[in-house]
Amino acid sequence: MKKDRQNYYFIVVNKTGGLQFFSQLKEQYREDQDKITTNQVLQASSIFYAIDHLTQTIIPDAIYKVEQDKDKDFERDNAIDLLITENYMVSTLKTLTGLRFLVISNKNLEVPKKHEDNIQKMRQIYRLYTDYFSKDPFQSDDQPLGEKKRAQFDRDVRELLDF
Amino acid sequence: MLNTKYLDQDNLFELIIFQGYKNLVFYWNFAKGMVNTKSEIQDLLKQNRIQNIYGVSEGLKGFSQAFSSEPITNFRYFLTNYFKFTIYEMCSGVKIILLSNISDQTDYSETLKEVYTNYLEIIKRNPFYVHGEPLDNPLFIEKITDIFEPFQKKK
Repeated sequence: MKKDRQNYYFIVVNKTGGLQFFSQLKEQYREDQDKITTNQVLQASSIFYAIDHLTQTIIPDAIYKVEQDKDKDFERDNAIDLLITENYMVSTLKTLTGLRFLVISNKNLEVPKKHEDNIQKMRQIYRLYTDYFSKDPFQSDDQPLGEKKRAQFDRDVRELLDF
Repeated sequence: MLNTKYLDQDNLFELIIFQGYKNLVFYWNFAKGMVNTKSEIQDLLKQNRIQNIYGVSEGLKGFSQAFSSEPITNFRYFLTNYFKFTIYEMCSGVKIILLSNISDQTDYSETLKEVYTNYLEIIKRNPFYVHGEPLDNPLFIEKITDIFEPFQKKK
């Protein structure tokens, strides 16, 4: 019996807004339309990066009063956590270095619990990410992976996100 | 997701209604008051913040449509570390946006739908209303205050 996959896509956006990694976890999510192209994902991830940055400027006044006493630059910490549409939800994890992990998954399950779940899995993937990207001296910082390593990382990500 | 730091704050921060391209017709800061006269709205539009709110809703609309399996008009809401941004958009170009507290777990999509039905009946179907003008109809204002009355925290 095939389990119904709840996670659809996994995306890594680097700190300058470019697409660093993309994996489609469920094959027939978009039934009538063509398969999503890499160009579309590239555009979508740079839109997300820009808008995430823009949300720093629309913080309401009441929040400023709460955070005013602190010295920290709280505007910089503001990042989109969770985005809900009618069909799916997007959970994001933003690291201190400006890297963003996105998991796009089904909305049918209870949303806060699934969101917490996604964040935990993304933290584990972050550890894997450091193995593949940061610790490799030949891998430059913001560039996507080469072919072989990409397949390996893809396999590890699928193991974590497919249940 | 429950952040106890903001429990003392109000539940609702701002209600914003756009009509068409960057055309602000109604603004309600729950702490300060409503803005629906033409001169005040023009002052507000000069600030970057309102333009950015419009930009955020349009940008994330493009992002949401890329990954959707069906054609959708816009996303429902998103959460950041500090606030929650709920939007109700119709094909005619009306956007109703509510900024609220993240410690508040209620889903405001239904209340924004109610705001929209009131908007339709009181504003749009009024033969004397000119498209693009600010919403200063007193019946509309009364209905809106009644809709949001139970959600506002009473101190």
